[in-house]
Amino acid sequence: MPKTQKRTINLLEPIGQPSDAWTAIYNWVLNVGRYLMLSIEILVLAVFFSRFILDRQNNDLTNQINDNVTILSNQQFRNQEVFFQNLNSLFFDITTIKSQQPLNSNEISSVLSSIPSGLKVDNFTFDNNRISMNVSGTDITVIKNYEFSLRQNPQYGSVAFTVSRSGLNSSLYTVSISFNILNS
Amino acid sequence: MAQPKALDFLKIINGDVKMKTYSLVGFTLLVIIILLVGAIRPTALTIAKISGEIKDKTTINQQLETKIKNLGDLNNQYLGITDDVKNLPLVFPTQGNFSLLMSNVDSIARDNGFTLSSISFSSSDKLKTRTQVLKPWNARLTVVGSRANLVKFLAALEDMPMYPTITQVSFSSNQDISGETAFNINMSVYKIEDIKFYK
Repeated sequence: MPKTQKRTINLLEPIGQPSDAWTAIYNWVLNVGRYLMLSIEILVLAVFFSRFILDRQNNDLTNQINDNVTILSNQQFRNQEVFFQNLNSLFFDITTIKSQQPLNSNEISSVLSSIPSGLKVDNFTFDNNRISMNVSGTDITVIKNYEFSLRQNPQYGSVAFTVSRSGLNSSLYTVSISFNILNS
Repeated sequence: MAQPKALDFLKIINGDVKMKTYSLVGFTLLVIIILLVGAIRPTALTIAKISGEIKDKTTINQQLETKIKNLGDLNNQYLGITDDVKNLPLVFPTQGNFSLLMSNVDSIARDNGFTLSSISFSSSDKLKTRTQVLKPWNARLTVVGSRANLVKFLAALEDMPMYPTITQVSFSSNQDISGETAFNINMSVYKIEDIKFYK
């Protein structure tokens, strides 16, 4: 032993216990590593068994889906499905056309009933809310009043009124009338 | 002078022990991290993947079961309206077979004192509808009768179960020998273009 080296006694370490790296690793494995590995093993085992449960659930669901797909793939089921879809669309359409059906008979009724009794309808056309008619009469006042009532009616628009006389000496007036029914 | 020297030695020994403790803690942490990354993470990822699959499959399975249940319910409901549904092809025909409409028009015309002279059908693209399966067709009819009954007749036509729309009406003051007037009436009716619709 060289003279210059300091002589020490390590009183904190037990006598006779080696303190090299291998011993430290050995101690670590027996103390910390043991519990660490144990807890990891427990975790891994838990995960392993939970995978069994999850896989079983997964397989059960796959089987159920396959069974249901088989049922739905049945031709009778498929036909029924298409039929019910068609019926549903038809009922929807029926509801639509029922709610949107314009009752033009009411409009025609109100137009025809508004023609004064002094005027004779020569011809009458209702074409998609456009009324065109020729009437004739002898009383110009009745014709003027009718024109006024048509122009004043907010339900009618683009009122065109043409009055003509059949002849210079004739008392018969021929009237061409056309207008649109606005809010029908 | 001897006491400080001994203290120095103790400090050296204590430092050595501290160093060892830190090394062990560091090593333990390192092992924990390696185990977390190497062993637990892949397993956790696999479990998450399987759980996701189970969730998706549960949703799909529920949807399929709901579909089967709905079809069953619809089938039960259908049993209650079978007779009405059987008449639908007559009201909304698929192949232009407007026999019920013609029969109804003829009957309504007679009830209102009119005679049905002619009736014809043609495709119509004038009427704009928001329907999915019902397509408007044009029915043109000529009836002979009294003008006094016209509005009642038109209202009766609109009351038919086909929900027709009167699109055109025209007549003139010309009368036949029996004093009756001819009326031309156009109305929109509906048909279904898919011939397999009711099958």
